[in-house]
Amino acid sequence: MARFVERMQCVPSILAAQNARLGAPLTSDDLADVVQDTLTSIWRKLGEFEGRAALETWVYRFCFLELMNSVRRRRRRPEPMHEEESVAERDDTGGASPAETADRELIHRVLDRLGPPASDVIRMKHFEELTFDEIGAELDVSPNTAKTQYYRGMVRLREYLDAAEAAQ
Amino acid sequence: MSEEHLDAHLERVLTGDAGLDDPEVAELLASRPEARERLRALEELSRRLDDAGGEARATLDASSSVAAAPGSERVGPVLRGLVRESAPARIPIRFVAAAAALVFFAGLLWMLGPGSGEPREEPGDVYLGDGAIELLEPSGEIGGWGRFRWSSDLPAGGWFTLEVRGADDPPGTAPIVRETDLTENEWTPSRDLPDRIRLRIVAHDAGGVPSGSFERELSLSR
Repeated sequence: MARFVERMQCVPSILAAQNARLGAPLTSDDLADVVQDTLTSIWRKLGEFEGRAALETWVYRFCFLELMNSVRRRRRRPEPMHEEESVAERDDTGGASPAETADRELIHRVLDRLGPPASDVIRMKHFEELTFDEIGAELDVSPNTAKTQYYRGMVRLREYLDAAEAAQ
Repeated sequence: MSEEHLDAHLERVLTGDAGLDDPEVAELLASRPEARERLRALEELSRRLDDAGGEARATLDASSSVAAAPGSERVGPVLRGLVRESAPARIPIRFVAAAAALVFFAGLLWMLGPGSGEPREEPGDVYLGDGAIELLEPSGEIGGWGRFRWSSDLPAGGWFTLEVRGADDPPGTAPIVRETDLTENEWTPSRDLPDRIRLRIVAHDAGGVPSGSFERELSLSR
């Protein structure tokens, strides 16, 4: 258990780093609450982690989406945010603009809608930068099968994004 | 050229097996405007995914140098609380093999044993939107698992995710059924389900943000 707790210490670190890259929209207290929500989300899905990705890479999307949920809730609150509450200054080393962040959130959510195996292949290709040979080896399929799953997944993902963007 | 051949050629381009100077590809793109448009859209999506992947890697790199992140002190208590609330986990062998560090965790769950007898509580307050979903079918005495139907105003362009778990499975267990792209407010299982299940339905708006949810344990009457 101690080892597992130690491994999950990456969650608050990822959340803090992401918050900084977004310009620190959340306070320290908010972030601590998001840690709890994120760990619960991860716990729910733990059975789906098959060791194909590094634990931190797998955990990342839970951190990102829970952080965005929290930012959305915070914006709904009536009280203004105080500058001194921010946990960190904006990360000026390449942090994303609000439009870029919104696009990335949409990407993560439609990938979840797509589901495996196509979403796994697409994440391995673009998030972990694996080759199709490596993806095939990870998923125990031929590289050609991985390519076909990738292409079909991309076509469906494009349709989902078009629908989402049309609705917005 | 059939639609199948068009896709085959675009797949070769998108996966790097063929360049735009490939004679067949060049001919296809010259003669089929819709092929050019589809390729353009897919390449644009590929760039967006690359951007998202780059941001994820940059964040993970930056996280390694974060000292004393807020909430660090909560990790242990939260996880121990979740373990206490859970029955023994059936963690997939591949998971254990791939993440040997988590063996300690699995062992602890087993040691907790099935006889703790404490009622299980729902996991913490994860945000799943403000809307409510009401289960319409099945209702009353349930003789067998047939159609599930629920009421919900699905936002335009939205979708439902549906998960079915065994009622005694701990929250970390992979679902028996996971549907990620339902656009109708009903679903019929295509496989046998246990007598006691935990059903979870989440409505998402067009951008994927949860807009409502439902979760409940259901049992056959027999």
